[in-house]
Amino acid sequence: MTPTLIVLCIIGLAALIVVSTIVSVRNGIVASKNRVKRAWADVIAYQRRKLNVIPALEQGLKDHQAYEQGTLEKITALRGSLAGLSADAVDVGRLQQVDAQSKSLLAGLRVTAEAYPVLKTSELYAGWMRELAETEDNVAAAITIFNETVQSFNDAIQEWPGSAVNARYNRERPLETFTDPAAQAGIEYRPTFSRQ
Amino acid sequence: MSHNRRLDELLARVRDQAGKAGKEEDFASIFTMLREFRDSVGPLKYDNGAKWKAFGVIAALGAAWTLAYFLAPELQATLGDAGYYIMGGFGLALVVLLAVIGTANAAFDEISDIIFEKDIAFDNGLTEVEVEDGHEMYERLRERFGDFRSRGDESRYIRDLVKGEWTGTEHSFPFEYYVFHYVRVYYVTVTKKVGNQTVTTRERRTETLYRYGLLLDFPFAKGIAVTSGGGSYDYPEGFQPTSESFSGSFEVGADDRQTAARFLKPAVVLAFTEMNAHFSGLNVEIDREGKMNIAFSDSDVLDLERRSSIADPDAFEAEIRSHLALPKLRMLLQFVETLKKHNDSNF
Repeated sequence: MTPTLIVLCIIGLAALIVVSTIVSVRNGIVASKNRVKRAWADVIAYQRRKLNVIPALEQGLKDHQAYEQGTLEKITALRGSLAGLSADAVDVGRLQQVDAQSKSLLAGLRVTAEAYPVLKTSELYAGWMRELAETEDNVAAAITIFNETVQSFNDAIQEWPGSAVNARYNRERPLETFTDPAAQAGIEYRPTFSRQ
Repeated sequence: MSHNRRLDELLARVRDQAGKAGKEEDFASIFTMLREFRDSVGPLKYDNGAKWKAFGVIAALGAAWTLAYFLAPELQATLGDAGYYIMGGFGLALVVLLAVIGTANAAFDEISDIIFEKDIAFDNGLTEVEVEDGHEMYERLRERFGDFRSRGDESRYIRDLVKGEWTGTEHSFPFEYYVFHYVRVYYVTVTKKVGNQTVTTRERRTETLYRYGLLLDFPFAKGIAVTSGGGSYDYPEGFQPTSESFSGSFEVGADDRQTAARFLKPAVVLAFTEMNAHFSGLNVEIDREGKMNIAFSDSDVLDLERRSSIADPDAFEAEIRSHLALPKLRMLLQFVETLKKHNDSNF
C-alpha cells in the first residue's frame, strides 16, 4: 500500500466518521423534537379529558339546584379555552391559561360542594369530582414529562456538537418549558442567567 | 437465690409471654414484670463479677505456669510437650470464659427482637403465614409471573410469606409479601500448580440470592409487565411512553399496545420513575387473570431498627407503644393504590 493510498484511506475514514456523526446528531434532534410533540399531545389529550367530565358535573350542579353563578361561568370559560388548545402547535402561554382556569374551577367546585350538603353527599357527583381530580393529576404529570422532553430537546440543540449541527441543518429554536405563574408569584427569588 | 438465677427465671417467663402475645396489649404484663424485678431485685443485667474473678485467677495461674515452665529447664525436660498443652488449656479456659461473659446479656437482645418484630406485625396488620410447600408455591408463581423465570438454577422456593391488608383513601386491598430464595450456579476456571505441572480445572460455585415481592389482585388491567430487574416475559408487544427517565429504566411488554397505553397514564409513569429511585430491580407484572406481582431486590421492606431493649423497660415500652411504621412497605402500597386509582376509571 502506497503512502498516498494510506493518507486517502485516513481522510476517507475521517470523512465517514464526520458524516455519520452529523447524520446521527441531526436525527437525534429530530427524534427529540418528535418526543416533545408527543409529550405535548399527551398534555392536550389529558386536558381535553376534562370535557368528558364537565357536562356530568354541570348536570350534577343543576340536579341539586346548586346554581353558583361563579362556578358555571368558570366551566364555560374553561370549555372555551380547552377548545382553543391545539395538539399540533406547542403553545405554553395558552396552556398556562387553561391550567389556571382548571385549578380555579376545581377549587370553586369544592367550595360549592361544601355549601350544598346534599350535593356533597351525592355519590355520583363525588365520583365525577374524583375523576376530575385524577385527570388533573394526569395533566400535571403529563406537563412534568413535557418539561423533561423540552429540557432534553433544548440540551440537544444547545450543546456541542448538537449546536453546530442544528445551526447548519435543523435550525430549531429552544422551546419554552411550562411554568406555573401562580406558584411562581409567591417566590421572590429569580435566578439570572447570563446567556440562554 | 442468686441475682443471675432469678434473672434466668424472669427471662424465661418474659420469653414465654412474648411468644404467646397476640396483640400489643399483651406486652403490658411483660413490662410490669421487668419493672418489678428492676425495682425489687436489681439491675436488668447479668452479674459477671464471679466470672471475672475466675478469669483473673485462671489468667494468673496460666502466667505463673508459663513463667515456671520457661525458667525451669528440669521441668521442661520432665514434662516435654505436655507443658505446652497445659498452657493451651489455660488459654482455652480464658477464651471460653470471655465468650460466656460476652454473650451473657445476649438473651436481652434476642427477647427484645421477638417483641419488636411481633409489634411491627401488630402495628402494620401483618400476619406471618406458614409456607407448607415453598417449592410447589414457587412452581405455581413461575407459571404465572416472568420474574420467577430465568432466575437461579436450583433450590428455588418461597421461604417466607406474610399476609397484610392496606386501607387507603380510595382503595383497600389484601396483599401477600413473600421472600423468594434461589441459588445461582456458575463455573470458574481455576489454575493450580501440582508439582512441576500446571493443571486447569473448572470448579462449580454457587451464590444464594433472594427476591422479595407483593402479590395482590389487580382487576383493572391484564397482561402487562413493566420491568427493570430481569426475568422472562411472554408479552408480544413493546411500548415506550414519552418520558425518557421512564424509558431509560423500564421496559414494557403487553398483550397489546392499547393495554399498555391505557395502563401507563402520565401519573402512573411518574409513579414508576419515583419508585425506581427507592427500589432496585423493580418488576411489576399483571398476569392475564388480573393478579399482580411487584418484585424487587430490596430486603429491608419489613425491617426497622430497634432503639432500646427490655434492659430498659421504660424506653422499650414507649418504643413498642409508638406506631412502628414500615416506610418502604407503605411506599409500595401507596404506589399500588396510585396504580389502582388511575386504572379504575370508567372512561
